[in-house]
Amino acid sequence: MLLPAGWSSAGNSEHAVQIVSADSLYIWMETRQVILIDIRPEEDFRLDHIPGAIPLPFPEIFSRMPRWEKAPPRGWVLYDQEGEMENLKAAAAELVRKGYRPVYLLFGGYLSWLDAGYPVEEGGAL
Amino acid sequence: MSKSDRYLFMFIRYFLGFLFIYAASGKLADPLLFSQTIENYQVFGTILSRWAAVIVPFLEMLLGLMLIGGIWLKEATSLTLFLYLMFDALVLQAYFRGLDISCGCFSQTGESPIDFWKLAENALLTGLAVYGYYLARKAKRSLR
Repeated sequence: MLLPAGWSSAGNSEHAVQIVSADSLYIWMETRQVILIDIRPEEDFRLDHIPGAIPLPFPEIFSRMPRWEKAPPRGWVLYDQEGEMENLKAAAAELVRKGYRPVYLLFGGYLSWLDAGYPVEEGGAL
Repeated sequence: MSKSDRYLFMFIRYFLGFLFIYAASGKLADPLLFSQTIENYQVFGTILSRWAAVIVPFLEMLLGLMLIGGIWLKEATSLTLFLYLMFDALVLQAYFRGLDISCGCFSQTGESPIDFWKLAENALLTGLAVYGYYLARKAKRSLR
C-alpha cells in the first residue's frame, strides 16, 4: 500500500505510531526522508538489511538509543523480521516516550521488503 | 532486480490487485447472477457453478489485497497466474465453440462478448501475470 494508514497510538500522542508499507518506505528511502531502525538480532543484521538502516537490536533499544538532534522529514521507521507487533510496538513506544515522532512500523517486516524485490545491503558492523 | 524491474513489479501488483478487487466486488454483489454466467460457459454443472461463484470472487478479493499489501507475493503471483490461465482456458473454449455469451469477467450487468478483443485482453492480462510471477521469483532468488 503506498499510503500509510494510522492505526493506533503508542504513548501520549494520537496517531504517534503508524504502519508503512514496503512500497512507501522504498520511495521514502530513495529521497532519504526517514531514519530507519533495524531491531532484529545482530546476526540477522550482519547477514543483510535494508540499506541505510541503523542496527539497534530489540532489547538494546532501551539502553543505547542514539540521540537525534534533527527530525527527518518523514520520521522514524522500525522494522523486524516478520512485522511482529509486540516488540515493534514496545520499541516504538520507547521512541515516542523520548520525543521522537512520528514513528512508523514496517508492515510485514523485513520479509515484505525482500518479497517486493527491494535492495538489500550485506554485512555491516554494529 | 534492477530499479526499473522494481517499479514495474510495483505497477503490475497494483494494476492486477485493483483489477481483482474491482472484478470481485461486482461478483460478490450478485453471486446468483455470476453462477449463471459460469454455467453459460457449459463446462460446469449447476452445483459446481454455484461453488465457483462463491469461491472465485473471494479468491480474487484476497489476491487483490495480497498484491496491493505486498503480502506473500510469491504465493500471490503464483495463484494469480493460475487463475488467469483458468480464465483463459474457459474463454478460449467458449470462443472456439462459438458460444454467444457474455464474459462476465469484470461486470455482471454490461455486455462483454467473447470475441477476438476479449482474447487479446486476456492475453495481455496473462502476460502481466506471467511477468509478475517471474519478478516475484527473481526477487526471492536475489536474496541470501
